[in-house]
Amino acid sequence: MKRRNFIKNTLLGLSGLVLAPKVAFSKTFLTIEQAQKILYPEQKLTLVPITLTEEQMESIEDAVDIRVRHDWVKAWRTEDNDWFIVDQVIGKHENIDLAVSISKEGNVTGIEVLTYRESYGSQIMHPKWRAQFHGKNSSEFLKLDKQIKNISGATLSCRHVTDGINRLNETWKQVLSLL
Amino acid sequence: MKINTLERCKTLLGTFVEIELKGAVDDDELIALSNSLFDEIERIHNLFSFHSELSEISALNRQALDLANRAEDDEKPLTLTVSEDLNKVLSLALQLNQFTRGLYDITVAPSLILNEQLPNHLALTLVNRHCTLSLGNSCHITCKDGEVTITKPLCIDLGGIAKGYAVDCALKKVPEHIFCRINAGGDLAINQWKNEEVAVKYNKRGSALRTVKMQNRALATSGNYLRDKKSAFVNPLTGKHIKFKGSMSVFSADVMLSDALTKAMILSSRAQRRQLAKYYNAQAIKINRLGFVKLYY
Repeated sequence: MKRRNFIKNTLLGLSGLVLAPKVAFSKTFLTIEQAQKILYPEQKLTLVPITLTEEQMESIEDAVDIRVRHDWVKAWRTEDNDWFIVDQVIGKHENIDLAVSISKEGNVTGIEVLTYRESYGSQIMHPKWRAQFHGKNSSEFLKLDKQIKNISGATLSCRHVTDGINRLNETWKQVLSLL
Repeated sequence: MKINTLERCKTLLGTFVEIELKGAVDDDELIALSNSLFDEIERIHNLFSFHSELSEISALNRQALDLANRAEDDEKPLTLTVSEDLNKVLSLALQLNQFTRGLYDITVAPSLILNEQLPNHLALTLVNRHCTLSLGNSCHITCKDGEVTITKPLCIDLGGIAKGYAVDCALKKVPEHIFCRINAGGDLAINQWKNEEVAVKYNKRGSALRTVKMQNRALATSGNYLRDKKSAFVNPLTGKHIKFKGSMSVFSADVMLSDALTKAMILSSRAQRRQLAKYYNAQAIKINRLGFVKLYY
């Protein structure tokens, strides 16, 4: 009886592993407009397009020891010279879009997580893995945007977000504060 | 009036704290309420954070570790008056420590510091390491009516239980007519929990989810699957890091209790798990790494 149960359980477990659809979890909390309304309720924001030079990117990287992945900064300025920046942080288990407000003195006054996406880790960077989606709707493979409201699991660390905020603060110090 | 919804997420308590509010009130009111909830969570974070040197718990730890420097014949214990919040959390932790005969212990922090899972800003050195590392230190703490007495040098980490307490405190501030869901890194509480469904994650894979109905107001889950290095669960009786794959979730009336019970349940035997669940009126779900479920209630 024990052996029969063991075989049944093993088969069930294996079939679960093989047949389970790949679900990538993603969740949107606020749009950029909503975040702007929460962080600067009565201020008018103007979009300031910024492109970092290679020297600036290197100097930010050296100062905070965190990789700068792209040369553009999506930033808005208020009438009081405060800043509102939207950026992406890539962690070990998740990709996060976040909005940060930085005052004219350089203090981080608010942080909002806009979108949270479970990452597939290094696979995403791998060309072979990405090749399977060419010319196909990605939803065939990945049920993206599956909205599961309540998920309870092991606690995820938010260290990557803290690192990302340090990087944005350094960007403010080296670039935005001089504009 | 139209029902409005607001969902926000911030980084607090070392993890991602999500708040969802729903109610027949206007957007500004929901934003104001969410701000006050985040403020409350931040207040608890500032009191109980092991990572911050300025928190109440770090101040207590510094004084408790200082006991190692007293004269050898001096047996005078350390007596401190603590805040009402710390009193509540410590009381529950000590009660659970007694009930589980030492399996649930809030003084395993030194092993976690040496394993680099917690920062060592208390400058734990070889001099005081031998006395703090001796296990089962919770019995050297007593907490009554806001007064804490410590008789031996030790180091307290309230980790998850404080996270649960923060969610409990925030949920108490929500008026009855507004639906509220707070999820602080797996510590989940819903004020109108009946008929709500929840997915429990038991593995790193994205599809490793089991859907269950909420059984009570609060649910907490503990697991080791995100960790590459040594396990974060230490058995205080043996000092060994416990290998635990899968997840343990507990439903109960308070998130603080649920969170504490997950740790106690992981270390307990099957019979003890049933006993714990019965005593605290909780339901526990253990899911192994393949997704097989075991219930304790």
